[in-house]
Amino acid sequence: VTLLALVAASAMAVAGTRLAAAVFALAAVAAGWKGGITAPAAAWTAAMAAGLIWLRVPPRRLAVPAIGATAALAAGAAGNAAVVAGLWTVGTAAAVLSRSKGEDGDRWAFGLLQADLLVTLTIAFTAINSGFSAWPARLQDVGAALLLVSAAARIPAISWPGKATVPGLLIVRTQVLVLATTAVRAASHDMLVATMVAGSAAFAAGGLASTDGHRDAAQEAGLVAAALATTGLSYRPAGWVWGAMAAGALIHYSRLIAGRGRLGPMASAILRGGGTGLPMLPVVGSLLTASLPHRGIAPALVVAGLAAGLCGRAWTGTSSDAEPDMEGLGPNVDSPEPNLRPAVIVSAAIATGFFLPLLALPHPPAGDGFPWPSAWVGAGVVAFAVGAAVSHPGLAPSRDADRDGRSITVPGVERAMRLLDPPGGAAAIVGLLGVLAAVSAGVLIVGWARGFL
Amino acid sequence: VAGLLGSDAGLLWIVGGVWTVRAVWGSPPGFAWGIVCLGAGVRWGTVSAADVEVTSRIFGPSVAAGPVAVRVALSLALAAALVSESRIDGLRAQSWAERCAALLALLALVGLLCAPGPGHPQLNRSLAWWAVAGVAAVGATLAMSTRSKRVPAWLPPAVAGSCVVAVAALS
Repeated sequence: VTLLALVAASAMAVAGTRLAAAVFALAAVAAGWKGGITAPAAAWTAAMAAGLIWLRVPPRRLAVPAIGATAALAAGAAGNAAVVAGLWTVGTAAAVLSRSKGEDGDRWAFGLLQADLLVTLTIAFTAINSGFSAWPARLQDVGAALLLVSAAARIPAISWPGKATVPGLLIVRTQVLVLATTAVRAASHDMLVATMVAGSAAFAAGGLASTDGHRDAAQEAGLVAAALATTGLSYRPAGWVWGAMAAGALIHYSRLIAGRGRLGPMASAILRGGGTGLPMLPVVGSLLTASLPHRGIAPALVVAGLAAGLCGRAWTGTSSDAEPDMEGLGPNVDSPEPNLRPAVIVSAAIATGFFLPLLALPHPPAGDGFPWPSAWVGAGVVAFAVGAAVSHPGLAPSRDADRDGRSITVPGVERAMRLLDPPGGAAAIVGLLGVLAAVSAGVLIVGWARGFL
Repeated sequence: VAGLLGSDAGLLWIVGGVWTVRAVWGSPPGFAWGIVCLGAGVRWGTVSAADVEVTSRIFGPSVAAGPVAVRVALSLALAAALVSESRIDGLRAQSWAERCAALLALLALVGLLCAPGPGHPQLNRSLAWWAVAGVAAVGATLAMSTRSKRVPAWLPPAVAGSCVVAVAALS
């Protein structure tokens, strides 16, 4: 039902009607209602698409990326390796098609295709060695690790500076979520512990990123991986992958409006708060609550990583080249248009960051029953805060406020980034996509011939 | 404040609250201080300040309970957090918000690590511990501020993080 709704919404986006937003929202509700393995990824991908149209991104810009995201979700839900590779390659082909023109877009696409080589080879290897119907149960730790590495390699492409914002947020973000979900399904206990620690390490690394988009993408992916792992390990509270993706969506929306409108500075303050009011805080709290009661070094590393990520977000300076290039997105600073949409996003972020931890986190055994403000008082405080921010934008710190914190430059990153330059320009991209398509078609044909479809 | 009063997930509220104030006013958040506060949670396996207070009521102050190696590691972590706070020098900041955040940060540090947890029969004793340790911490950070600025910025977080991981391994 969800996939059909996504296909219908994509078709409406091709037609250019804003009703596509309603159908995307319907798909998100359907995913949440029906549940399933990829339900969180499907729900929040559909919600992301609906939100982008609601934020006035032209629906036609979403058409091809939405088709690619649907293909990636279908690949995540499929249980037969024969069709997984084909669906996955359709998703990446959609990303390549919707890349921006020029050298920057080519680098983005070529990097994505290189990350896809790992996925396609893992699928083919598993199908040959363990059978087509063994996907993804018999991936084993090596296969799961390769999928996680491929997911990590895609993180910078989620919010690549420039014009790749829409395909990045729709296709690449979905691919990262689907890869993490698939890998965790097949991981052993030790692999789950390693994923939990790696997720918190990604959260910490994101805090040191030099651009806003990379920071948000890495921290969202890290939280999702850690939440998936703690759920797989049966740590309590479980199921916070939904919360991690919701927080990620709010963070991405906040970044998109951060430089726009009268509420832009408020959104900037939320993004760089690093503590109370940050939509990611409930997820961080749940992961701390889940990991701390367990003995050993791993929980301490998780705590250190999560703390470093929050601290980095609060302190590390980020460059302005992360400004997403999204024409028509929200009112400009001097525009007389109302700030309704940014106000909704800022209110949702504040409510999530302040009040969700109160409602969601478990009561400690020794807690003294501190009388929390009632929900009505909380809602009143949020309404007052938003009203004050709208009427007195100077209350919020400016985006350009001085910050002595520095981003950390890792030696060798620049050299590694040169691997993203396609050696023969667009021909290399088409060639690599052709190789992936040929391997995927081969897997599909072999599966068909052996009767596994 | 809610965290110090023993509310749910209190350590998260303490650390998140102080970092938020410092981030908004543009001063360094103090990673070493944050990781040491959460380290008290790592020591006792909880994210609740109330749970930490109860365990320290039973076993004594966190920094003085358990095996010698754990006590040494937590003492080093506490020293690193104090050096970090004195480097930030929030008590001498221009804005009152930063000064309040710095004072609350120090009170949280001594409450979580140095004072026995409050209990009805021994509440005054616990508060006396807390007050004396708090005054000592405030005095130490004010006195050390000039010298601690010569310490490399990476050193206190590195020491604090290593010690917290060591505490987790040794507990």
